[in-house]
Amino acid sequence: MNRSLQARIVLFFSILFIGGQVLTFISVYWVSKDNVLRQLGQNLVYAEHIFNRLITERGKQMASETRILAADFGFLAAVNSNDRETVRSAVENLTLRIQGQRGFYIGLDKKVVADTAGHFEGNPFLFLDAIHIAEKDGQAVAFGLIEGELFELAVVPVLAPVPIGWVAIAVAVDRNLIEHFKSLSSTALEISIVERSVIGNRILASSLPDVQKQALSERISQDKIPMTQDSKLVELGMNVFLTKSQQLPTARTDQLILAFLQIDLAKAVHPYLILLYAALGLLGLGLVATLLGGILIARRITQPVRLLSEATQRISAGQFDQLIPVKQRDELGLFAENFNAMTSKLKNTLEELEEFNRTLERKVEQRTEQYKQANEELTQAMYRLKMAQSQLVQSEKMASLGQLVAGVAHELNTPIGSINANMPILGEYIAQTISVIDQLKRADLSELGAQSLEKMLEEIEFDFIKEDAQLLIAGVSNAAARVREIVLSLRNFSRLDEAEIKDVLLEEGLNNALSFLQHGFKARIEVIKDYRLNKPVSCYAGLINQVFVNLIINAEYAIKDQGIISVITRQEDDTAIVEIKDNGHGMSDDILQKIFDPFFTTKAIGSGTGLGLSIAYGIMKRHKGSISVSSVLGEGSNFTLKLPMHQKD
Amino acid sequence: MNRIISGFLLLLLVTNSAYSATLSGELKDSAGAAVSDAVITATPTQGGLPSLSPQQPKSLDQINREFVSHVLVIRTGESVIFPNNDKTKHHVYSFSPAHRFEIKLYSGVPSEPITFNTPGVVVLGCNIHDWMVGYIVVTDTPYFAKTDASGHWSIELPVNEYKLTLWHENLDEPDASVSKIIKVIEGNSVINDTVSLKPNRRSGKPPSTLQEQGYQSEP
Repeated sequence: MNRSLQARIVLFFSILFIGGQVLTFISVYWVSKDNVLRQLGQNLVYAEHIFNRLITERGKQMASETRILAADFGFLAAVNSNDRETVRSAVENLTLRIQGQRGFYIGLDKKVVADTAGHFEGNPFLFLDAIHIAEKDGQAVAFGLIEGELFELAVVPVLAPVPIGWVAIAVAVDRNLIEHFKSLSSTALEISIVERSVIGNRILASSLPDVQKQALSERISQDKIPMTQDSKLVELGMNVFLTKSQQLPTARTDQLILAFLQIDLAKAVHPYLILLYAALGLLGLGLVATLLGGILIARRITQPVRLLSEATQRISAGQFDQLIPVKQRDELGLFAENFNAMTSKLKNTLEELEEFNRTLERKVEQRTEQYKQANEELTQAMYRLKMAQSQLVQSEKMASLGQLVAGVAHELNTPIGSINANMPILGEYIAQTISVIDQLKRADLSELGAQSLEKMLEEIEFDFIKEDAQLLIAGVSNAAARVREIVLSLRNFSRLDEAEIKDVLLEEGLNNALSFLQHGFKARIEVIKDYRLNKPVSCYAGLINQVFVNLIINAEYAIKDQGIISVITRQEDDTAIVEIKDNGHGMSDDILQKIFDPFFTTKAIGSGTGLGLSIAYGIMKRHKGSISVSSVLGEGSNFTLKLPMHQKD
Repeated sequence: MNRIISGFLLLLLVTNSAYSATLSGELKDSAGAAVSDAVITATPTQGGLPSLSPQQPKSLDQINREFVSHVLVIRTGESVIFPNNDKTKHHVYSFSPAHRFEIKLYSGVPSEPITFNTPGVVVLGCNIHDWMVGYIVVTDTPYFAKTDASGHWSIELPVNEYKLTLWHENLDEPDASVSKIIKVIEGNSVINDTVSLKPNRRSGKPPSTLQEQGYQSEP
């Protein structure tokens, strides 16, 4: 924007200047042209004087010389010889002396006695008028055409001592003379001599260049001769000539000879062209100076505007640091100062606003943080609540289960005790019976008796019974022992009577859990035990056993077909560590993150409660211990339990 | 400007036999052009000169308004007759101290010859033809020569010591002549000498006619 302002200022100054200059230039040009024309007119007048002097003075001088030379005794003697050849030779000698081109000796009868060209001898002299003047004035000078050529003639009488004849000496008025005249005048001057006669008009001699000469020739042949005593402008071809004409005195009244003096304006003005160019050059210089000055002034004006504009842009971009340098003590300087003041104020206001903003943000952040914390606490509380709930449910369930198991175990304990107590006795009895029968067989019994015994024994397949009875009793004894074992396990597991912290061997709990669960997977899963702890650990044994059971059930569930479950116990400082590993299908990370959540299960709906691990987690927490898991998908999982060796109340 | 000095080379060749010798030479200007109408005279420094035997007058013609020849050399006491071969009359005159005379406007052969009894140079003119000029060099010695159109000259003379004099109308010296003493002896020798010439203003020939000078008319 300020650029165009600058351009406008420069343009304004330039137009102002150029306008003034051009007006001045035009005025000076017109005045100069007028002056030059007047000057050239003056020059033409001088040139005319010079021409007249050259022509007429030369004629007069020629006449004087001729008069003197014609009085030469030798010449008189030659003329007096009455010998034409001698007279002609003497006239020629005289003509040479005067540097003329043609000489005549005319007798008193006005007839030509001798002509240096030999043409007019015996004929009347061409220019009788000149002789008349010479008779009257003692000499005559005139212009005349001899055989189509223009001459200036001097006619004087030959005195011996009275006139005996006339001598006429002719000097050519030709190109040589014209050139001679031109050499005496300014270069721009041209001279043309024109004959005007009844036959036609023609140029006799001219210093004009061929083109203009042609133009003049056409003009005069159409009798459009610019006759002018005053200077006039005449166009010849492409050039304009300041022209002045003059009639030359002729030796015959029927011959009219005109001299044109002309100044070629183009040539004459040529020296002034330097002035013109100088003026144009000055104009150009002035223009350049004006442009530069204009640009400078425009800069001075637009620079502060530009600075202000830039400052405004900076402020728009939010930069308040740079103020506008105040250099001038004028309106613009005041403007800049005010602008700076405004900028500072704006800057302060914006800073305050920003500070306020920042405070607000901090407050919002703080509040948000507080809300976050509250939320988290709430979530945790919720989680703890859920955990507590699930633990409550579990403990209730376990409590019921424990009671049930304890009841079942107690009820089974008596019959199993009876079986266990009676079976060896039954075995004894059967063994004794069989021994008796065997002795009977070998005894010396009547044939009949023997036969019926044998028959009876065969009927009952005594031999088989004998063997099988022992086997059956052993089997029942075993089964009974087994039942007793199971019952013991159940009782141990439930520990309903052990709801207090006791020092127990964890291995025992593990064994109980395994024996209790192993029936389900004995065929496909190998259990490897690596017990290294073997020290009593104070805990709620029932709860810990429940943890073991849950983990082993999960391990079994993880193994699809064949597999291994490793159970490891060890001690690290004051912590008992139990690891339960399987080489089952393992778990993905997203499942791993959720396995301790209550009600999370991978089993089919209805198959699992989703409480097992969360209960385990809760139990371990209760013991101030921990449960952690590592699992690799496809390779298996490893649950690690950490339990303080001693619980502190 | 009007006094141009031209280099002028004098070449002198001396050829010897027992009693008589031939002096010969060549005159050229500095541009190498032959210089004609120069007169060389050899005057013995010892012993007398042979006396002049009676002779027919020499002729100096005016042909086509020009003296022919331009320069004539004669011994003192000889006569010259001036026949006019032109239709135009001539008026021959001399204002030279060696011999003043005039033959007023005449045609044909004058009745009496002119006798020149004083050595020196006689300059001839015509009263009605300004350009006409001729020279008669009158000398005592019979041993003289005039350079021809090619600048050559030669003189037969006895063995002796001579004062050799060179004259030319344009020689830039008093009396238009220079002199030198030489000994003509057995053997050949070459003498080179340089003199100065004034620019030649007058040839003595008529100017190109007035008509030939021409009128510079418009084409």
